[in-house]
Amino acid sequence: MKHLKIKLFTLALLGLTYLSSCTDSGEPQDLQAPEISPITGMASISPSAGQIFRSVEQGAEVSFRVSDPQGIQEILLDIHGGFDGHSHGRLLNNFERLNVRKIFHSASSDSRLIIDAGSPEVLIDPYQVIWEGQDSEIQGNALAGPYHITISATDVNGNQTSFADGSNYHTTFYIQRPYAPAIELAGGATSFSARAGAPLEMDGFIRTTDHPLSTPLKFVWMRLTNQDRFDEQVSSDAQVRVFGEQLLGESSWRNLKGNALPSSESLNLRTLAASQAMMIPSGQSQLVLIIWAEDMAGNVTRKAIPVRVN
Amino acid sequence: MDFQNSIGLGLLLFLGLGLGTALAQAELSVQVLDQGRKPLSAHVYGFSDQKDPVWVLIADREGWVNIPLKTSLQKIEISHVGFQKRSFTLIQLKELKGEILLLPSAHDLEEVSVLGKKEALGTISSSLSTLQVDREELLKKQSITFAGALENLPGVQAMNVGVGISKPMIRGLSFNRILIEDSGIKQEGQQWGADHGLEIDPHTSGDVEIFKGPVSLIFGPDALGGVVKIHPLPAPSEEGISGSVALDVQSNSRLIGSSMNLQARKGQCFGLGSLSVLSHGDYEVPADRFTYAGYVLPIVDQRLKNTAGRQLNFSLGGGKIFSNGETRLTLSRFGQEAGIFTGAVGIPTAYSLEDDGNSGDIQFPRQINTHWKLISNTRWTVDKREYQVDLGYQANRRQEESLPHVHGVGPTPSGNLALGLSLDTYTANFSMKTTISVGSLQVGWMNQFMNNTYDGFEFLLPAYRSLQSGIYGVLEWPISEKISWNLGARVDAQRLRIDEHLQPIYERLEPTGEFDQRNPDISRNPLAPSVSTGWVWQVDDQRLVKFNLGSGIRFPTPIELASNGIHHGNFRHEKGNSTLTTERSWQADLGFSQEWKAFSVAISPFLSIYQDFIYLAPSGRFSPLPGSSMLWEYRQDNAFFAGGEIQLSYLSPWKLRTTLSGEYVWNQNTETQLPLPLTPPASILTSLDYPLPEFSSVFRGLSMGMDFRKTFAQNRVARNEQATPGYFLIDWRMSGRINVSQKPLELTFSIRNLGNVRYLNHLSRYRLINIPEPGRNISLSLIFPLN
Repeated sequence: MKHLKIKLFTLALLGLTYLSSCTDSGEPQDLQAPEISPITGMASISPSAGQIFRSVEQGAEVSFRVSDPQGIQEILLDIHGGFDGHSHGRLLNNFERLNVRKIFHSASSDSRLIIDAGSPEVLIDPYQVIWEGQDSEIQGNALAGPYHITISATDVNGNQTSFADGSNYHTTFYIQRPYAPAIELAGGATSFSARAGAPLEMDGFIRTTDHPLSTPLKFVWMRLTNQDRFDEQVSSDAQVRVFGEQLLGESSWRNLKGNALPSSESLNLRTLAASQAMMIPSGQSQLVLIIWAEDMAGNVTRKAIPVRVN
Repeated sequence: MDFQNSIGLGLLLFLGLGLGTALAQAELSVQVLDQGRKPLSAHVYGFSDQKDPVWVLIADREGWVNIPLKTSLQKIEISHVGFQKRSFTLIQLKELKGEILLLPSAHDLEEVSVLGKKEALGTISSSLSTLQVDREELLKKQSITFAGALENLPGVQAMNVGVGISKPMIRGLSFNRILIEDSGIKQEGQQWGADHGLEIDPHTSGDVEIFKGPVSLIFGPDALGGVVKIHPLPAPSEEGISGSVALDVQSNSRLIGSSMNLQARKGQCFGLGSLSVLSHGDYEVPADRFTYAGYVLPIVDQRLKNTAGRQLNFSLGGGKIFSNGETRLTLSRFGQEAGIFTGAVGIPTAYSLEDDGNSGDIQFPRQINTHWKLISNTRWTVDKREYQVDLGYQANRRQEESLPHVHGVGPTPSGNLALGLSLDTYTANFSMKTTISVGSLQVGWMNQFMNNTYDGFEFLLPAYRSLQSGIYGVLEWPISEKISWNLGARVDAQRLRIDEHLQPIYERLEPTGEFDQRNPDISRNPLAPSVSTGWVWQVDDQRLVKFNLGSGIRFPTPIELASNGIHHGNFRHEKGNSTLTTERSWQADLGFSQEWKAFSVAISPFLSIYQDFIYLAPSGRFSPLPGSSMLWEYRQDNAFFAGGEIQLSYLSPWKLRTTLSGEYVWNQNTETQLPLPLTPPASILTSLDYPLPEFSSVFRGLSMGMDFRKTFAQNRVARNEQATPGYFLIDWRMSGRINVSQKPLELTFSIRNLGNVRYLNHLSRYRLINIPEPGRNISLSLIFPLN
């Protein structure tokens, strides 16, 4: 009886080991998704992370490469507003968010979107996304602010790039418009200098413009941080820290609210700095002041200003 | 064959079976119970003047058996594993008051239940491998969800969305392939969704029985992968009012919950009531960041933002016991509000994951689920026949709320109801069981009507109405004292009407007056038979062998036939296929158990072939809908499943009980030669349980235990599914009674994930975004008796 028990136990364990080590036989299956990468010779896919399209620019050039040994079936280019950090706020007015959804495939009715069926490599270089003038993606006036771009691809077997493994291309870029709030530093400066232990001294203005479509200021959000993560990216090797924050007015997009704006036309940064100081911490050589300004129509102007700590 | 014809055929068959059993003889209906008044599926032997029995019967799962009172009958013997055999003469038999109590056998009960047959393969009344879970055992698991309380059973897993939403999986099958029966009525919610939990509270349910394999025969379509049968709480046996109050606290999500159970009996009338409330905050994971979309994103304070939840559940019922039966009516309500991790809808960003300063609130996105049930159960015996009628009404209301999307093609919607699903289900089941010359025959007729409507600014599932009806007959034939055989057949028919859905088309936020047809009107009238047979061979007191060969069917669901929209539960655009046909499974199950004085083993392998297995397949084409990605379409291919469970148990001389359970499922789509998605990984669970010696009159029945679970990596994945690495978890637990003022206070204390291990669960929805499972969780449960 004892031997029978030992045999049974051994048999069971062997069976379990066998079952847990089962592998597939036959031909290996293609489960590899296509690869999305920059065009050869370019540092990054365009638009790149945090790229700013200035007021004078009427569109963006989208450039990238997709490859897959089994052949590419479709490519999706998706651009949509990133105003709300995907918490999905809403605002109704005459301004339009840029919404682009283009599917590149071999049978597209749009000649600009046709790619070779089953090709192992596709170069999109460039595809023009226009938001003002002829061929504009929108009829009205583009809402200024952050936009998300996502590029996905599938191969002929149905393997798809994904967010989970980071094989989709996904980032944020910013569109500036002449009617959106203006953030100007005194004397055309592009950065601030500061001293550790002292309050940050700022000089400049946040104001409406003289454009006929300009609307009053509604919300201002200033953050002093050690890195600009474009509202989404966190570096894996450095802790993102916010050393000072100031909120005025109420955001149309995010659940943020502060004291009333002293003016809906123009805000002096020097005055704002005096009313609520943001202290420069020690041990930091380079900081970033991020200013997010909204107008009544929902236009957002965002500026990341380097702060050199002496 | 059209719907009317199929119903006609069903009625004919039903009546035919009824006539076949009409040759009745006088008989006595008795219920076999243990000391705790739990029903026993005991063997009942009838003797005349011969040494060998002239017949043998097996009591049903409720312990009921109809004894034919032939004039030649001299005595009966009743036996059940682990209990003393009892004998009654014909005169004594007639004096019985409808109950036979069996006492534990002379063996030490602990020895018998080292890994008793009941635990390993289930009762001998079923030729399928089954699992029995007592209500007390269920509550000791200290799980917020019903499915979570079952997940450590061999062959059973839970598909989770955080800690408050969960649904059961049996041998790698879930969704509409697992049938949940609560008090004789099939639970109907929106079980097709990966993020839709089972709306049943473990605090308000009774004992549970799990069938691992196709049991469509008795339970109906959808039971082709298995059944979780929840028994109603038994009627109180003693006069007066009794009950208990339970308190649960858990550290990980700062859960606090309380439940109260009351039961009363006066004469032949009884009442049962329970109330359960719980609230928990965002739960902790052993990680401060996760990687998604190529970014490292924060998990502030290691708490998953917006995963808090609340529940308010109750059940209220009453009934009357008659000399030949029982009737009861129960009203229950499951109410849940559960937050969904902020990063799980849309693309998570660091901004949206920032701390909102309140880890106990429930923001958007969130689910609000309410499930009402009104159930009537009546059972009575007339002559040799036992009749049962179960009637039910269920109102399932599901609301998925989120802030309106900016991606919409139409005008930005107002309100926060993204998807509202409203399902009303009416059920009427009839069954009759009778003894015939060779054994017993059970026939039944099951009917269900469903009406589903929808609301909200998203669209996924159209409105539909479904009428389903099925008839069955099952013959149980105890061939000998040791072998019983069963054979059954069933026919099901469905009449399904799905309404067309037209989505308005907008151009530059203005309506064009045109519509996009998401799905046409769909009309289906499928009819499908199923058969099953099995043997149970109780070789001797130590060995039990079971074999079952069964076929189950499942009609395509409306979501599989007609859905067309973005399913945020799966992050994809899902499109139905109106050409889908009935899915069928063929499964062979083998069960073997053997036990010695201190050692036992049980093995239950299975093989299944699925014809026209319905699944979501990647099309390779991108969806035209804004905010979505690739289009996934329902299709059907043949599939193959194999695997099984093994349990070994050893009781050492110093009372340490060691149990080793292993489970494995292997499957393959025979067309694509790829595994099916959401296949549970192989795992081995080793449990140690030790009863602590009595050291005080205050503390009684103290026992301590540890679980060591090794879950292997799941590298056999479907297309576009991620492989999941393996992990090793340790749980610790202690339970016992504290005698306070002559009333024992039940206490259970446990620490799950003792090592605070960071791991991914292949079956969790949050696995899709690389979110680890909860970290260390310290739980304390107290039950105060109220008698």
